[in-house]
Amino acid sequence: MIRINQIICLVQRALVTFMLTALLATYASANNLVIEITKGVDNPVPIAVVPFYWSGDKALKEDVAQIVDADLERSGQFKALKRSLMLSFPYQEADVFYRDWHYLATEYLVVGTVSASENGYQVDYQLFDVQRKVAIDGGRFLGGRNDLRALGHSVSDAVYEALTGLKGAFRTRVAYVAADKKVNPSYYKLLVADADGHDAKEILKSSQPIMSPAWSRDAKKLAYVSFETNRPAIYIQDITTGTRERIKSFKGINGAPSWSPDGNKLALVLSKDGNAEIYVLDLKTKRLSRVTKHYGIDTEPFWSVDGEHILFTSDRGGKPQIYQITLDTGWVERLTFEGDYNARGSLTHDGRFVVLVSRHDGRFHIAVQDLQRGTMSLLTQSNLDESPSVAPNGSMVMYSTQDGGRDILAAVSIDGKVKFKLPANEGVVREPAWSPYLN
Amino acid sequence: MQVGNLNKVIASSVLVVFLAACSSTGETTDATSSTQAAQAAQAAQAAADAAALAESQALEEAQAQAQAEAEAEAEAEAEAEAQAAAEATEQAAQEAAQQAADEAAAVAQELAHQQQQAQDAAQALAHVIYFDFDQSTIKAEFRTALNGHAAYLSQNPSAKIVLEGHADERGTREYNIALGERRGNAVSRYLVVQGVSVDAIEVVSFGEERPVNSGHDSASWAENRRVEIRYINY
Repeated sequence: MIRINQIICLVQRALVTFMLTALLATYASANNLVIEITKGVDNPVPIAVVPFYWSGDKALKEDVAQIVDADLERSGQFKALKRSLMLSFPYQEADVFYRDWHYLATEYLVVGTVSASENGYQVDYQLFDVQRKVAIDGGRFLGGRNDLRALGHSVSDAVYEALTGLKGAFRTRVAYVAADKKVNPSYYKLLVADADGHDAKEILKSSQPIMSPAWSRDAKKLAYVSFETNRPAIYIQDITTGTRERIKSFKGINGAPSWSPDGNKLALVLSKDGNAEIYVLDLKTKRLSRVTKHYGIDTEPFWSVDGEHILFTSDRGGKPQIYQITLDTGWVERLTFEGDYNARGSLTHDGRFVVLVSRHDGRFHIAVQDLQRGTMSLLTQSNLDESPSVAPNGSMVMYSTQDGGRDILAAVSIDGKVKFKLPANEGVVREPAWSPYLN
Repeated sequence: MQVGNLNKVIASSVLVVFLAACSSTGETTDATSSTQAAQAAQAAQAAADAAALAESQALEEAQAQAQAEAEAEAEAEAEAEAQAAAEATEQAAQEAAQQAADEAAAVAQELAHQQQQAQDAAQALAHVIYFDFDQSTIKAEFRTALNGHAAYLSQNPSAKIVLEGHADERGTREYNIALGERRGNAVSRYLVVQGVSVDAIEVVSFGEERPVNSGHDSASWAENRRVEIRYINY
């Protein structure tokens, strides 16, 4: 009897899981974002990415060299040579004539091959310094049948690191919220796409607002706020299995989730004790501890890389500014002083810069505060810029802004020199959350 | 009637005595008339005694019957009176009850009418309170409406409301959630000061997530900075 009950229970659970998965992980390619580079560095480095050689019979679904080409251009630091101008298509060192590439004013050259492997594909690449006529980098990446784009991004990451010294963040993802009142007045979606906007997948759809997506440090889970019960609640969802958990919610605000660096804790905002305060929830013990205590608004927590501090927005001084609290002592320090509205601070991976939203002359821009120098500089000049999210290598900041009266995603380099837009094919998109490095 | 019967008994007894006397008188002429007369006198005496006895018995009987009849009559009369009284009481009670019911119904109707009027009045009040940028101060122009809601809510303890706090799109989303809640709390506090129970109010902030006007100008923003009073129970 017990066994039968257990089996029924298991079957029910399996069905529920299946339905949830089916519901939450619907593939939606129509939500792809399209990259438009709006500003690059003044003198981008000329590079040529030769089409990769493929020995198979059928044409590949993806053009790997094109993916690398686009990644490097999107960084704003490189200018890729057009294929139509190439004099030859070498795919191994023996076929490279440096004189041809030098003639085309190319400084660096990338060649490679794609071949079938046991379970998918193998990509080999080589990077050459045209002036010095030497191979400076090379490598091999293996992936499954659906991983061609990811393999291309891995090549981009390797080339970028070899040339800039900074780890590439092309093989990452971005979670964002889509909504379109014109298409459907009650339409909110949470999507996850590659960092270049491709392969967008819908992971949640609701008739009520969805907000504040935040990646776990292993890039496998998303915490977010959903109003699907007409009250705000924080959910944690595994983006591959679709299974999700609603964390205990309280009367009032349940918002602004932020993962601790070790992934075991979640900083969040609750107003159960009167007004918006920061709390830390231990995800294993479920123990909740209060971090801030002030009658002003305390919100938008963000953990420091060492896990010892939490940045937050507070209007305890009259207007919203960025503060930092040291967790074991409770010591609170104000970090921003320029302007009367600074909010939603997040730290770069090296802990040096705070990226934030700052109001100047009534307009909201993305700004960066250099914690070493104590100076603030604006990264954007557009209005209503919000939700900045820094790439895991600290090179770029993705944010949402207004373009032609609708919300779009855009990115800017941490030095403000490079910019690109990622407008959605349809609808409005906002609240980008740049994932950590994958695996 | 009883007296009549008694007279008959007496009359018949006297007649027997008279006839006996007559017969004895007629026999006096006979040779044995003295014996006959003595017998007749005896008979007359016996008749008189019998008549007297009958008379007394009849009287007693008549009296008893009269008494019984009188008693019965009195009893019947009392019974009838009691019945009449009971009937009268019952009718009066029914009338009173009917009247009370009518009055109660009228009062209830009046109350329902008043309740409906109060509800209509509450519904007719402004349900949206607007705020200045980054502010949660309740402006004077909304006090009349809020006082009306407060009056209704304190007079109707079963009534419940949700105060939905909203912000315009400027500024960050989570800060706007906190700002929306602060506005909701400001309205809540105002109502509580006016006598509304804390238990009748819930505050839910939607920040900038549910604008009523999706425009990006100051007129649209002014419409979006608001607290909506939503009755979940009147």
